[in-house]
Amino acid sequence: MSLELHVLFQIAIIGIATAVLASLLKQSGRDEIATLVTITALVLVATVVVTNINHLFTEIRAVFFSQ
Amino acid sequence: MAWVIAKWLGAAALLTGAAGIGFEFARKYRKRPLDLRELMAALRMLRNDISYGRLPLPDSLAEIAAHFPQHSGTRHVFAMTAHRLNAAGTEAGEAFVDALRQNSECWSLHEEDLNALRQFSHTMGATSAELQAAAITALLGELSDREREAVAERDRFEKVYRTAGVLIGMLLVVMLW
Repeated sequence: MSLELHVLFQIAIIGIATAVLASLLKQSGRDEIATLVTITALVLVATVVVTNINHLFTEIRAVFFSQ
Repeated sequence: MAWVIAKWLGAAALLTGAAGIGFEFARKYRKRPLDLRELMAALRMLRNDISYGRLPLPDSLAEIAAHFPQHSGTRHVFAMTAHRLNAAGTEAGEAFVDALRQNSECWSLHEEDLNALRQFSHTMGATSAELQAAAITALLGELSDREREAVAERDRFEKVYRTAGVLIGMLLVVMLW
């Protein structure tokens, strides 16, 4: 349970930080960098999610196809 | 227990470091208009002194330097130029360029600001008082344009760098936790 909460918080903080950073960058006229930051955050979150799904599938495989 | 403390300490160090880098970048943007304003004030005083022929150039430079705070780049450059002029038979322009080169770390001026000053140094102490005063007026006009541009840049980027440092530090901490 604690692991799931940790991942959720991690993703939430990445989202908040990216939103603030992107809006600040847009305000200062650096739109391309704002887009770059958003895409980087997306990739970062995708990596976290894929790692966890990979973990889930490994667990399922271990439970059902242990032989 | 020790592991948890180490983790918190590491997180604090990372956050402080990232925020510090952000603040340092922001400080450069904040300092440039101030440096330019100081420099312009000093040049105005120099122009008055030259126009009225009040003092010899080294004395005038030393007196102007004393008007500015200890850490100010303008003070260092003017004081060093005066010192060089007093010490040996150096030309004023040469001494000024030398002082600019040696004190470039003291202020946050861009290379193009320094180039304008270098260009002005050719007339310094080498032509008539009227021509020198005219050269300083032209330089002041250019520097005032640059100051306006520096203020606009500061308004745009100071907050971004300050916030970006803290946020990137926070992101790193969260990713590495």
